[in-house]
Amino acid sequence: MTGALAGKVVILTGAAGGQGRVAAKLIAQEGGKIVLTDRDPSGAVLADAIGEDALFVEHDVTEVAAWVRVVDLATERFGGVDALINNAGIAGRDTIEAMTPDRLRGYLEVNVIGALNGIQAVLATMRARSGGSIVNIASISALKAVPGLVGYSTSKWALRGLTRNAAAELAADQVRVNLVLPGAVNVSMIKDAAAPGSKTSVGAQVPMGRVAEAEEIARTAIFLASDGASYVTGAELTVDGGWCA
Amino acid sequence: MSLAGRSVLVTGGNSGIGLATALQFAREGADIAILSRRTDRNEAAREVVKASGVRCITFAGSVTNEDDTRAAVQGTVAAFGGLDYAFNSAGLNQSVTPLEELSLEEFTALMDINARGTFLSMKHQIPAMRARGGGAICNCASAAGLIPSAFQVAYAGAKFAVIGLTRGAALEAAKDKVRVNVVCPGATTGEMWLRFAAEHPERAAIALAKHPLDRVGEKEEVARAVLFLCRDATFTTGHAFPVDGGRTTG
Repeated sequence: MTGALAGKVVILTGAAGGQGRVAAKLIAQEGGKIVLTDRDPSGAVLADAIGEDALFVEHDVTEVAAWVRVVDLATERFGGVDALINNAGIAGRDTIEAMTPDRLRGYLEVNVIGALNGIQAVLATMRARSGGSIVNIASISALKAVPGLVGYSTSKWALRGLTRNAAAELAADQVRVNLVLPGAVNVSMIKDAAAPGSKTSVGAQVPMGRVAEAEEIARTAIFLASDGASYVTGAELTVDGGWCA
Repeated sequence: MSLAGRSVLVTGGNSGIGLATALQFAREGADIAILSRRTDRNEAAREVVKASGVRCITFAGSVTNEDDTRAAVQGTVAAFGGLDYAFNSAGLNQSVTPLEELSLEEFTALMDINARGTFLSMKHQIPAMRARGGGAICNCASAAGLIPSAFQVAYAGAKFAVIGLTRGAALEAAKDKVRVNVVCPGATTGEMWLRFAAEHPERAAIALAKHPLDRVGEKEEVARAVLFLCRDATFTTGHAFPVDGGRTTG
């Protein structure tokens, strides 16, 4: 098998969503063995369609015990974990005035603590394999203020901080940790959250004049997960058509 | 052979990171053009690139000279039918010198080769890529273009300038479907670092200790990142991409 991820075992969270489905197929095309996880059990159908190199686990990223199970199943089926793509996330609109502690905790719980849980869960198996690669998926709202998205944006800024700290600390274990920052993407969650109005009006704000296709985000995550990026850690790679240039 | 029928122009392309990148593109089937002022190395570079089974042409000249950057682009278009990609890796490192002792001549040379050279290269590459219907440029800065080091402040200034030029050019060129990014290597087995490490082993050890992955990067690791930015990162533009073993995390 050739491909950027040939022989690699990859855990992908949020695999049943729009972005996740596209990423899962591309990871399989690049030769990776893939553990798809999601709260939404429909991910099982996708795993079946990919075939014997895919496994689906119903999984809530906020639950530590559920992460233990995911890594155990990955190890049992494929022998360990080489890469983790923390793709699961939640988005929504909030103003400062209307924000509540519980709502903010909700964003942090999934978008930040969910990623931390994943990093902690795979660390032992990556150490045992003399290294690994973790890719967190944020948003360009981690680079700037986005009025009306305070909860989402704040959680993505925190994920960026988690990524940098994890990169610096886990380098000693040869575990690389990087961040992808998509702009507007042609899949529902991000589009609804980041872009009031129609797809056309968002594209007009982007120097490249369009929104991203989910494949473009996935290809970036795959590069960072692969050995192609073997000297890259702590990077924050924008995939935004020049929006934040 | 994902790049068969494509062409790439590499400034500073007959040694170090530039040559490693030329070879990376050549292995994918792209035809290679090299612009370098160190002409004694051009023939050897041509031979090693052609061993991948692609065409390779070289131009003698300096990126600080507009006639030379224009001629390299025009010559590439004439030879290969167009210009798809460019890697502007020609650069100059600074001696270890405190700012107040740094000569104006050295400061000017650093700004000329790194910043003016990047400007004069892009100035002629962008229209050639527009004529082709699109393309991608990767400039070469440094981790020092994101986090400066003491006693090499003119180098930092010049590399900060390269990043600013990149981001601005990306905004302008997006409408032409030309993406412009910049790679920021940390300590890497290119000639610049190897010379620095030989001349200043203690400083090199201190610098290396700031790279969390705790090793010098291979020039091929930078080359792979350049290939990714040019060929695969189809929605990334105006981005400064560190390939630095974590140097810029803290």
